[in-house]
Amino acid sequence: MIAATALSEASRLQFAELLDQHRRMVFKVANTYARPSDREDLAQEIAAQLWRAFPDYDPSRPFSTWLYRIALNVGISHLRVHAARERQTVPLEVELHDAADPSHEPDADDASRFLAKFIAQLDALNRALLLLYLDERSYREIADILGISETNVSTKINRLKERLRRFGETHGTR
Amino acid sequence: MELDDLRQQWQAMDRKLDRSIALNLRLLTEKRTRWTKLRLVPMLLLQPVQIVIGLALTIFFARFWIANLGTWSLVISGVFLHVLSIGLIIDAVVRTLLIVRINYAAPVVTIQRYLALMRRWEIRSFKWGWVAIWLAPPALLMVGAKLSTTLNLWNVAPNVVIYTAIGGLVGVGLSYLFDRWTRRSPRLNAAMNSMYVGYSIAGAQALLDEIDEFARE
Repeated sequence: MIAATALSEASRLQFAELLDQHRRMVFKVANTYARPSDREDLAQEIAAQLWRAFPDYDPSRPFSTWLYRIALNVGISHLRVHAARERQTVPLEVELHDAADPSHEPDADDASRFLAKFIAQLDALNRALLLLYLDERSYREIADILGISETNVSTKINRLKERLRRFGETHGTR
Repeated sequence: MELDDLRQQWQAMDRKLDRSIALNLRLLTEKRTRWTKLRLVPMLLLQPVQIVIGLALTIFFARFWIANLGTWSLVISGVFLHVLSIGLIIDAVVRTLLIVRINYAAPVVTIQRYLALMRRWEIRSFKWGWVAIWLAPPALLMVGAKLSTTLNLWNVAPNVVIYTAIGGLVGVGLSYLFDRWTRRSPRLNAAMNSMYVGYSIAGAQALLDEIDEFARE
């Protein structure tokens, strides 16, 4: 699993192309699990793990599922190491998105902050579940990525909805 | 706010994110891969090395106590070090078995569970290793004296062995008290965590429980 197999030039190009197409997933995971100052490092770490695992990638299976598994595993490990070291919550970086959009509206900022706060108080696995749900992955794909049953995904999504309602009551939605 | 409202917000952030990405992942990958490989190589190489050292020590100490079967003090010393050597082998084998199962392309819950198991094993291994370091000196002195001078240190200078053993036990006790003390102080606990990530077995167990709870329907 750890041996980095030498890839042919064609494979290298194929990997680069696939990674380019799916790069937003990498950054979404990095933003969900890393503090702003560590986000770039985590994205690099995810990309490196993808690169090392690519020789074993089965093209008959969806690339996004494979990528999400690796990215989430790396992201969660990153969060655990940093949480153990710093005992701090890891907020989603809202400023990145705001800075990218000069015409951002104050209302949108509030919603972004609310989302960031909600994600920050979730444990690592529930963050993964929420990220996949927000990314409109099917329950089947979420189950496949996380390694739990579809029924469990459905149950946990309902619990997340309930948690969100309670969180909204205590923190305000707008 | 409902979860589906957050979806819209997520998508809006997603679109902005796409515009903000200026990094070239291809370049990053090539740069980072070399570093990652370097970091993983020692971890991979250490386990077979530890197994070989453990095997050599096991054979060495087994031969020692078998050769001195008539002298109980030497047999106890030899058997004690023999057991520690077997512990070295078991430690490396368990760690290797856990490492080879860690394939990041496998489902998240499965891999996080293996990582948590590995973390718990690392902590236990570290703590038992520390105890062994404190308790091994009297046995090593006995074996060393016998091999270098053919004298049984227990017969010649039992106080040396007794005081070394007491020193070891005191060391274990002080280590235990220090461990308890650092847990009471958040700052010290954080410092210990930064020195050795995943310092507490209770923390590792809590992590395993959290993963099992998530996997449970």
